[in-house]
Amino acid sequence: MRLRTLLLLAFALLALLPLAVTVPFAKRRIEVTFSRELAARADSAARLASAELDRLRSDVDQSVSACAADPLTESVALQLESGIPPAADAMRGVAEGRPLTVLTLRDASGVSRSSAFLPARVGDVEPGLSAVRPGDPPAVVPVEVQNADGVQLRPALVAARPVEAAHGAATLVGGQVLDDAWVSRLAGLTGARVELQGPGLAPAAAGTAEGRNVRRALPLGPAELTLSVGSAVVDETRATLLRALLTAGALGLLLALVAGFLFARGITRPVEALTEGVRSVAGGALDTRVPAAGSGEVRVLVDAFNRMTEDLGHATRALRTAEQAAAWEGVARSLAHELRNPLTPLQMSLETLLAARKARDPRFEALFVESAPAMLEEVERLRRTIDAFARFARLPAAQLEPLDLTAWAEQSLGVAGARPGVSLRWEPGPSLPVRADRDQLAQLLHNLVRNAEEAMPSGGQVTVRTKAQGDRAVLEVEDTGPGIPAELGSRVLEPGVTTKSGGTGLGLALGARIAQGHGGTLEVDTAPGGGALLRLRIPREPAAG
Amino acid sequence: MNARRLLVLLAVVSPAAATAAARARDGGTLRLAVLPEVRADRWGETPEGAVLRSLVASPLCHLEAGGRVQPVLASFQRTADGVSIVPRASARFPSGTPLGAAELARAWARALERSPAARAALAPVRDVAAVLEQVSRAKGTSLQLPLAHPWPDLEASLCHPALAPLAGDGPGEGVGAYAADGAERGRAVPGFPEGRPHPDGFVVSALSRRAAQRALEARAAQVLLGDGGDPAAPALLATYLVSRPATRPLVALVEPRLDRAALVRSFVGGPASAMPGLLPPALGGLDRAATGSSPGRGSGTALLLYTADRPGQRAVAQRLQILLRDAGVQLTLAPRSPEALDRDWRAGQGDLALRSVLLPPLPAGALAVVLELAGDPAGSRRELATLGAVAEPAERAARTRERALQLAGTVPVLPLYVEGLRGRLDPALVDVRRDGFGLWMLDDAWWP
Repeated sequence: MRLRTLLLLAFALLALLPLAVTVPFAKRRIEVTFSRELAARADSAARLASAELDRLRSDVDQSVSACAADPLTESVALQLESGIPPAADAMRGVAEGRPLTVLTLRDASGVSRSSAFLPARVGDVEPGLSAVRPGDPPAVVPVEVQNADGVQLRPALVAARPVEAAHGAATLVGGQVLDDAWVSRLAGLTGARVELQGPGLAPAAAGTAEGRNVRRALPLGPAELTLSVGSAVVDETRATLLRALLTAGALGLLLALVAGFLFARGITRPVEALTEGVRSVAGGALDTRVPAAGSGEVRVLVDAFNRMTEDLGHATRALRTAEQAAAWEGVARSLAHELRNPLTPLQMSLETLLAARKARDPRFEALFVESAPAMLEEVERLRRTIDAFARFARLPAAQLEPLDLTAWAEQSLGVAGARPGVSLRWEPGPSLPVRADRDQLAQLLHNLVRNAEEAMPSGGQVTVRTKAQGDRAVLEVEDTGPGIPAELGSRVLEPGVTTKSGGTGLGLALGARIAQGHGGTLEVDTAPGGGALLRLRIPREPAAG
Repeated sequence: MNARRLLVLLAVVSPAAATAAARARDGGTLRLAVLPEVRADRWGETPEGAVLRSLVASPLCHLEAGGRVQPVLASFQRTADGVSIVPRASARFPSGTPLGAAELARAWARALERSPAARAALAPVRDVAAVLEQVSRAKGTSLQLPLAHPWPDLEASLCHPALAPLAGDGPGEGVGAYAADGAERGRAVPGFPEGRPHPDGFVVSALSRRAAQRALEARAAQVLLGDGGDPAAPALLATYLVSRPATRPLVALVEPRLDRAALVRSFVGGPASAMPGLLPPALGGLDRAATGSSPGRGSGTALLLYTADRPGQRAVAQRLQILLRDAGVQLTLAPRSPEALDRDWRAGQGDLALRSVLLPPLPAGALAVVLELAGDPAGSRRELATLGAVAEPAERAARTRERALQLAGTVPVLPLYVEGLRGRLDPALVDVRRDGFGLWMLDDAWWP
């Protein structure tokens, strides 16, 4: 992962860390605060409902007492006392103008005799109302409420008062039905959703409480009044706060990322330039320089790098010069050696012949005849040496053409054959399409096989094989000779380095140059049997089709 | 006094002249105070509504308390297969249009569409709808009503207020002793077949109960309709709880819980009495023996149709709602106008209906109404044919009462109560007669 990316991630983490710590804490604090607020609102609604019920009790108490003392009530009660049945709805006139929705005059046996709101029950003992006794505080009881759709049981807050004029013959029961209108008014008063329900009672509900509800229940006799405060408004406020918090956090994170990016870029730009410079140096561009940028340690590092590449350049040039000098020395030494070896017997033969000629030695003729071929042989040796150096120097650029290395090697080995005492073993690999110069490749194979044969003067086996290694085509020549001394190693590929007494030391060097001209390498290795193993690696062409 | 005697003598010679002779003098305005529910009775289906309507829409004849039929707008002639009705030439609508046989046929055809009393009165007529249709298109002077079976009470039945001829589709224009002059006034019609009514006109005031009572006490009104009662008048406005064959179990739930006397006492009031049998006590209706079954319980819902503008019906409907609730049935109340109730019930709406019908003062005619409410035309025809075959009126009445008692448990009609005319008169009002329906006839009324 790139340093810049790492730095960005680090900055992001650093920015997230405070958010991760503060947001849950702030969220929890907000939750707690708003939950308390919600509970407080529910408590307030319950208090308001209780106060409203108290007010209603007081109203009912006063209204029923006033109705009991109403002359019309007394008249109806006296009529009842005297045995004359009053009109079923005679109490309607008493209820007019009073805040009552239940008003029934019942006789001593509890039978309804006149009702302002449910005359259809006259003649019956009204369920619910019969339980209310004179003098009791107003209580909630189930009462029947009649409408076109039928009769429903509703809770009603009622009180009973004796009609004094009737001397115990009549009791007035009145109150208010806690109906939909009352529930709706209570919902408006408290701002809560109000539900009034109980077993067998028609449920009434009003108001809304969206979201999570906090409930408070008030028992009302056979019914239960439930006030629900919805969390919708609180939730919305809380959500707004949380959104603001998260937005601020996200903005902070974004700003941190931007700042981090800019900061990381400031830091990593010279480092990346250094990395690129190192890559260039590794690729051989020793004159690479990193632009002076950054500050502090990075600047020191850039300067050090530039100084290092400059020094490295100097050192490399010096080393190359030294190597060139060393190579030239080797070549010169080899050339001198190769030239000196024939020159010395040649010089001695000529000096012997000159001395015999000068001394008129009668063996002159014999000496001449004896020495002349040897001298010619040495001259020939000189010419071969010079030719070898000339070939090495004049090696032309490779003319690459497509060929199958395996097929080509098989064909070349068939033509070449091996010298007596040496067996040539061919281990073909798969088809290996390459681009190569047939002549140079033939020269290389010839040199390698001859080198192997010469390494085994008493005979042995030369194995030639081809194989594929990744994107490379490989040609190996392995012998069963003594192998290449460890102290020489790959130096045998340098011009003038040889293990043979009569060699020029240019065969393998020429091979290495040919391999280089094909974009490949020639490697020196030791065969599993201890012999020498020379390996040519050149790029493999992609298979046709 | 001589002149008086002379007038009496003239009265013997001519009924119209007799009526006129009873008047002390013409003139004055008859002031009527009516309660809102009387005003709302547009078709005159209650006794007090019928009294009010009869001022401007007289029935075809008067059925006197003794059972005698006194033709008013038409004369009747028995024929071989029925009755021939000939409208009087002087019977004219206020617009001047004479009441011909075609107009009468059209009016009755419309009455058949809205009134069970009208359908019951004409039930013995063979193919009555076709007959009326045919006559309404012809220009004949008489309306021939062929009888499907003997029916001696036909003429008396035709005196029912429900068959008072009306000119249009609405309750507006009839042939009366007065011509309506706006919604609250009427002026005497000099050419009325029975002669000019005694008052010059009438004024109707719709008042609350208390205001109407005060008006009568203060003599600001001479007639109060809707409050009080006339103990001498027969109570013939019978109210039944009608069910369908499928909903008779609901009636079975109601009946054991029903205390008719308490129902009348607490919810109906006025000149009303319990009616345990299909025929009212005024017609000698016999009490049906109590079944003695214990109140059962049911479930489900039901729809009860009742007439909206009748406070008594509303109270009774609410009481039935309570009784059925106690029995486990949720009853929904559906108020209707009288014509809508008749139309909807016949169209199949509702499970139960409260039907109030002014019965004719003849047991056979009243049973015809009950059978019409039962909705069984074939059964009705059979019953009426049997009863009509009894020629002797007293025997026919007795047979009818017995038959009514037998039918009480089989027809889907539960008798509830019967009401009389709710009204009071200024004691100073003179010559207010009462017909066989118990309805006041105010044409001859006068006051000092």
